[in-house]
Amino acid sequence: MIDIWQSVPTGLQDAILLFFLLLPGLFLGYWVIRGYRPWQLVSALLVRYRWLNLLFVLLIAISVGVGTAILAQEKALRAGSARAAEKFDLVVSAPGSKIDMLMAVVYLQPVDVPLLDGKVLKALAEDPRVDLAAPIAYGDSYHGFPVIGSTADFVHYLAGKLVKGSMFSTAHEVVIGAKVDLSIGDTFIPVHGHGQEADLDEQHEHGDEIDSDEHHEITADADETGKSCRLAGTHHHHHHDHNYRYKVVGRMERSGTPWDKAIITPVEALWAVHGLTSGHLPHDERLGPPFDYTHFPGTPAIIVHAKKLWANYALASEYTTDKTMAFFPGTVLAKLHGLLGDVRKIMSLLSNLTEVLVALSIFSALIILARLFSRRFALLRAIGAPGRFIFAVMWSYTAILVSSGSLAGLVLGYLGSRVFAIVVARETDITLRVFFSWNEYQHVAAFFSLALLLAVFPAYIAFRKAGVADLRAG
Amino acid sequence: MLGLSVEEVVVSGNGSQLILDIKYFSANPGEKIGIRGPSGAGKSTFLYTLCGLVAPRYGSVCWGNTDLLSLSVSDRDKFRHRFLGLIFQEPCLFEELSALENASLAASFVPFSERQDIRDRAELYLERFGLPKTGRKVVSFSGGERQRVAVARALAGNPSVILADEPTAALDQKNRNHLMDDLVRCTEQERKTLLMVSHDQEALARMDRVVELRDGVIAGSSSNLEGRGK
Repeated sequence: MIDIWQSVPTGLQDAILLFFLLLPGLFLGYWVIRGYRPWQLVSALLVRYRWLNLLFVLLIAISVGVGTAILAQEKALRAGSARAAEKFDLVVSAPGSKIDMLMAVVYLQPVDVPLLDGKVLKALAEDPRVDLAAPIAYGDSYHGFPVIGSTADFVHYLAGKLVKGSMFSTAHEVVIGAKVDLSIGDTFIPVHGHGQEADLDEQHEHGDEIDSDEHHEITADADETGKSCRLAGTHHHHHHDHNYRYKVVGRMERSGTPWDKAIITPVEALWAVHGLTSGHLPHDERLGPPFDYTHFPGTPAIIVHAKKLWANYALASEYTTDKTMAFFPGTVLAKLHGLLGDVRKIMSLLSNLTEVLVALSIFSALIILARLFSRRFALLRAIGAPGRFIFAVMWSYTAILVSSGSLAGLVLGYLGSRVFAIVVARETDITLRVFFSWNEYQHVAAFFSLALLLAVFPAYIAFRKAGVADLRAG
Repeated sequence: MLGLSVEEVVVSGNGSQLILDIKYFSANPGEKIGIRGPSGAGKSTFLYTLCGLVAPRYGSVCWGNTDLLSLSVSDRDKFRHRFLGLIFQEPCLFEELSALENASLAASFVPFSERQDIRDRAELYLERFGLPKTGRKVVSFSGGERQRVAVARALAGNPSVILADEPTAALDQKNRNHLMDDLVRCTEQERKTLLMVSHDQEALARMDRVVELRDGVIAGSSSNLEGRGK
């Protein structure tokens, strides 16, 4: 039996499951309503207590909406963050926190990390198994857009063909992400740091002193003037060229990742801005690889793309040493997703519990409300309506509230997810593609059927209570 | 056409106190009978017992050859729908529905084949009573109009018997007359039996016979037919 089930395509399995989740509610509905036409009376009850009914629908919609939104969000967040990391097969950096590096490399979040020297880059670049070994350097920004130093090969690898303009060919040219608020031909002067740190930088320029003991020194060779700078750190010394001007020459295609807000410059330019060596021999004006490791100022991370998938694993093993750390961002993300999944399970459980509690509260209210309907139900009994008809009216009334609430909950859940996606995109630049899958529909179907089964109780009470005493009242 | 025969019917309340004790009562098919008596005399209970809404401790309520009390609850519902039309002191309408929707309420629960018939008859009576059939919801109707909708509802199922519990009590004089005209005309034209509880002397005067109830027992009966020369 299990074998037969597993041989059924997944989509069909989901459809069958959805059908079987809806079945108890639909079957009960058919059984209750068959032979009757209760809708006219139900509509009368709905109109009669419209504001109360609207409140019930709203409560159900919110509880269902929260449940579906949690499911959809977790899925979108998982897909969005995975998509952001998909171009980063293997990252080599100095030993430290993989999560910190992941945040720095994939999500461009400023973190304090030590630098790798040129020998590591040289070894990787010359490794026949490696297709791309690109240094990544951070430290500057322009109006909140991070300025990232790397190579033209990395830009091609990351974004493919540029949608506008051309690749940088001098140390004063940059290509920009799709969401960078600049145009081709614009020029700008970057500031050191990101966000508030960039503001601090302005203060530093006006003479504020930073205790150098609190800051890590660059691990690579200092330049000939003896100046040092920490490229990826949050603090720095005053060796920033405040007049270094960049010109925008190209724009990358939109990727839905934080790199849409990146300004990518030749890594040599970033080093130059910080008064560091260019990574090449003196007077060598070339950009990009091969770098001269004796003049290589250091890089916080190297993005590695191997020619073959298996080579990634071999490289990861070889570069996991006491001086270097190699990791797969995808693996780190999977661990984070695992954690996210656990949180989702707890939240999902809580939201299911809320749904049931809301449904129970509403049914309790309906039992009380049924007292208000009792005179009408008593009249129906008096004119010969069978007890099952009274039951059908009250059950249909509850079913309409539950169905409307469930449908509104789906819409609300979707809209809520969209709003959350906008907030996430604003905060992290990760585009979340919100969509409802079978899971969300099955969740709502389960709630729908359960609620219709529970609706039997107010209906039964209405049917039991309808008596002649109510006709005498008033 | 159904005649009624009630024998040895005893209805008691929660504390076993006697509410109704009818040794014998009968009504001929097509007869119009008024039931009067002071408050608490058991008039409404008597009426509800006759239609099976109140279950007596014992006794028999026979409509034609059918002892209502021997039927199951669902069969009693069916009997009530098929043979008895009820009118109450309050019209008990669904205010969010139109006159026609209210008058044809039974069409919601009868078999499909009977629905159109009920609607047609409801339309006919509303027209006869000069009431708008659709459009306006009955919430906007006057008290008299509402009660006439209730009468149309009672007649729409084409019952053999009309049981009316103080149908004119909440109406002014003009509307009382209007309602009684409609009710009596319809029952006479269609030879329906009418049993009506009322305090209204004018309404009771239009009945063939008036039964007096006191403390749950029939204390007397008087005929109006002689006065009319029948």
